[in-house]
Amino acid sequence: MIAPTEALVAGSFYTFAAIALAGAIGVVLARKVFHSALFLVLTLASLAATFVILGADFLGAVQIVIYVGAITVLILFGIMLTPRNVELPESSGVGRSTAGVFVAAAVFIVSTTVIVTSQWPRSMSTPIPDRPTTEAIGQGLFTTYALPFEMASILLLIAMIGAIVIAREEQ
Amino acid sequence: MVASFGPIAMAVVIATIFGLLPLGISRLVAPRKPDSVKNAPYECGVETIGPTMIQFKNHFYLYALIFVIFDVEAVFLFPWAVIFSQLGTLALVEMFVFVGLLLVGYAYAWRKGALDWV
Repeated sequence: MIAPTEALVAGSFYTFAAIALAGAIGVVLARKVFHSALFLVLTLASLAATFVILGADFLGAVQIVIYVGAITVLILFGIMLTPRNVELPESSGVGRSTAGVFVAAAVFIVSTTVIVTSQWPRSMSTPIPDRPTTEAIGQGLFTTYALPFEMASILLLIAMIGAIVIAREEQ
Repeated sequence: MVASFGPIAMAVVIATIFGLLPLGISRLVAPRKPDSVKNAPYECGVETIGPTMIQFKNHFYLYALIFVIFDVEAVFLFPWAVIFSQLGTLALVEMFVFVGLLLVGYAYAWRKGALDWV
C-alpha cells in the first residue's frame, strides 16, 4: 500500500521526468536554434525538480542557478552573436548521416548498458534522507575537501584568464 | 524536506497557468483580421530604419563568460553561509582564499579592459 504523499512525490517525479524528456526531444526537433535553447531551459529546469524530489535540494538549486541561469545565458549570447546569414555547407550526404547514426547508436548502447547493469538503490529499502543537504555539503566542503574547494577557485581563475586571453586575440 | 518544496511547486503550477491561460483565451476569442498595415513592423509607432537583425559585438560574450565564473563562485557561498557559525575562523580564512584568488582574475579582467563597455 502506497501512502498518498508517496504517490504524490512519485507522480511529480515522473511528471517532471516526462517534461524533461519532452524538452530534450524539442531541443533536437526545433527548427530554430533559439527555440532549441528555450527547450533546453525546460529540460534543465525539470531536471532541477527531479533532483529536489530525489532529496538533493542543494543540487537542484545549483542546477537552477548555474544551468538554467548562467549556461543558458551563455548559449543565448552565443546564438545572438552568431552571424545570421552564414553560408553553411550542405549537411546532407550518406557518410555524414551514417556517422550520425553510428555515434547515436554507440551512445545509446553504452548508456543502456550502464543503466541495466548498475545496482540501483531501491527506494523502499534505503529511504532518501529527508533533510536539507546544504549543511552536510558545507561541512564536507570546508573541512575534508578544503583543498579541492580551493583548487576549484584556481580552476575558475584559469577559466576566466583563458577566456579573456582568447577574446582579446580575436580583436 | 521534499514537502517543504510544496509551495514552490504550487508557485510553478500557478505561474504556468498564469502564462498559458491568457494566451489560450486570446487565441480562442480574439478576432483575427490581418491586413498590410497591421502586419507592418513597428518600433514605438515609427517604422524601422535599416536591418533589424544586426550583428552584436563579440565583446558581449566575455561579459557572459565572466558572469558564469562568478555565478559558480556564488554557489559556493551558500553552503559556506549555512556552515559558517559552526566552523568559525577556519571557514572565514578558506573563503577569503577562495574569493581572493578570484579577485586576481577580476583585477586581470579590469586591467585588460575586458569590462569596458564598448
